[in-house]
Amino acid sequence: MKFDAVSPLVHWFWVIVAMILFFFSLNYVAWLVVPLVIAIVVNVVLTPLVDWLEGWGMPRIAAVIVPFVILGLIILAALPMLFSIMGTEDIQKVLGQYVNRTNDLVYNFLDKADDRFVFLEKYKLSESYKNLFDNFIDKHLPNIFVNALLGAFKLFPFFILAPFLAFFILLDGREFKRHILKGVPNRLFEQSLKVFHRFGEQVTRFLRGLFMESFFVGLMASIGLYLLGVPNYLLLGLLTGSLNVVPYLGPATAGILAFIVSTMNINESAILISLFHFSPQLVPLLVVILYVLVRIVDDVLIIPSVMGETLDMHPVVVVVALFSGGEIAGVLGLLLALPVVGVVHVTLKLLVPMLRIRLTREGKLASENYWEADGAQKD
Amino acid sequence: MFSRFRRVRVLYRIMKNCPVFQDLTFLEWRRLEMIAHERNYKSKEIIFEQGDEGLGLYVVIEGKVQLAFEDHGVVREIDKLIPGDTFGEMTLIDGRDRLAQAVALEQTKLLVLFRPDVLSLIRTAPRVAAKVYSRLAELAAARLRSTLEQFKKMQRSP
Repeated sequence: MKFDAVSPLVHWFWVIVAMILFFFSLNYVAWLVVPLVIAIVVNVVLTPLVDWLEGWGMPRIAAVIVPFVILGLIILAALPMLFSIMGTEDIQKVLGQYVNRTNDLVYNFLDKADDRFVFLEKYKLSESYKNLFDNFIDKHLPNIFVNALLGAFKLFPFFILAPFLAFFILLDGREFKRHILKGVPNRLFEQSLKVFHRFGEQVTRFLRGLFMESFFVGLMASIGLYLLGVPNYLLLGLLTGSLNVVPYLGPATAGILAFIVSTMNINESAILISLFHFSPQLVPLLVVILYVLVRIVDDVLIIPSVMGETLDMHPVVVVVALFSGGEIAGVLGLLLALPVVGVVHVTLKLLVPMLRIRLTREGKLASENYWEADGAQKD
Repeated sequence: MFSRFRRVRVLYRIMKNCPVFQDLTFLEWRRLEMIAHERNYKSKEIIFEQGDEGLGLYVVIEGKVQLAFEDHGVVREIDKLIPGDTFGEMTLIDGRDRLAQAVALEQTKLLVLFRPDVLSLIRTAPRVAAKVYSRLAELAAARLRSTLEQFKKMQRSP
């Protein structure tokens, strides 16, 4: 069957519209949507393992429970590790140090700029920055801190609902599909089967690719930072991996964070430092180089091999998606922008042709001539 | 729950008579039933048309189905199928277009096995997949033989 192709412009217009609607809905149903998204991602990532276990003769339910138990144990084991890496000091104290350090860096830079360039003198950049910063610390920082804490409490239901949903999607996903297909009329049944299957396949490939990409980027960053002797390398790697889902902004933010951390305390017995005997002052520069390298490896090696052709999105679409996501739903919107655009893109690409099928089989019984033709009549 | 179990038992009794599924034990059949779709067709309703993309195998559970193909505007019947018969087996092997059309002759209940679902059994239930596919291969070989026989006969009597 042949379909008229949809103009890419029209297609992307609807992708953006659907995505904006989705982000608006986030304001009301974030408690459901976010756990559902996490659950679907967990489902997509674990399905190969569950299928493999089932293939070895394990009942489906056991095959689903085993990875969940393993995952739970890994998280339990990782939590104390993450916190012990943070050191014995309060997180608050460490964060305070980081904030001060950033402040010093910016202040020194502006101060030097003031001295160096005569035309900048009258603006007193460093002075006005200092005022701005002090004002920010006094008035806004406590608010931001309290809001962040409250936000973390709001996230709490996600952590209960998400694994719950993931478990049952893994266990009964096939049943859901069968029940949905039960409602499809006969004339569309075979088409729907196909569209369902292709949709599942492409969304799976896209989400799995996204997850793999984030995982490898986080891993590379962690290893690099460890070799350079940057403290909290695991936490920074985790952050780099998760921020990697946000195109353009994410990797840059992660790089800046790592840079700031690396300007403070460096583990001088780190492998690379003791191997090449360079001064620890050089480490921040090396961190920047590391992040550029990770970026290049990601773009050149990882994305083409794990994403395939699913990610043929125009940068304009990605940027529009990022801005609308960030504007409407904040950080959540930024994180979900790319996955949502990808899924909507795939859905529309498959659904529109299906809806466009001229329903040639609409209520069609075999035509009268058919029954008059020879051989077919006697029943 | 219980009625579902009974339904599966009834289906199993029918399937046990299909050449393709005859090797399956009840438990293995349960595994296959999990991916099967049940469809109801009215009398004279078209199930699939000649030239459609072949997506799966059908098993007749109730009713009657006619297989026919169109040749220069003339419809020729190939076979009439009764409960326990299967059609569209070859699409499970190659997934190519349908060579014939299938029409329900009366109120008919069919069981559909979608090709990608059956292929996924290779990963999740290799034993079931192996049993089904070895029988399918046997069926294909038998048909190839009979076609060759017919060809030989035609060659002998021009």
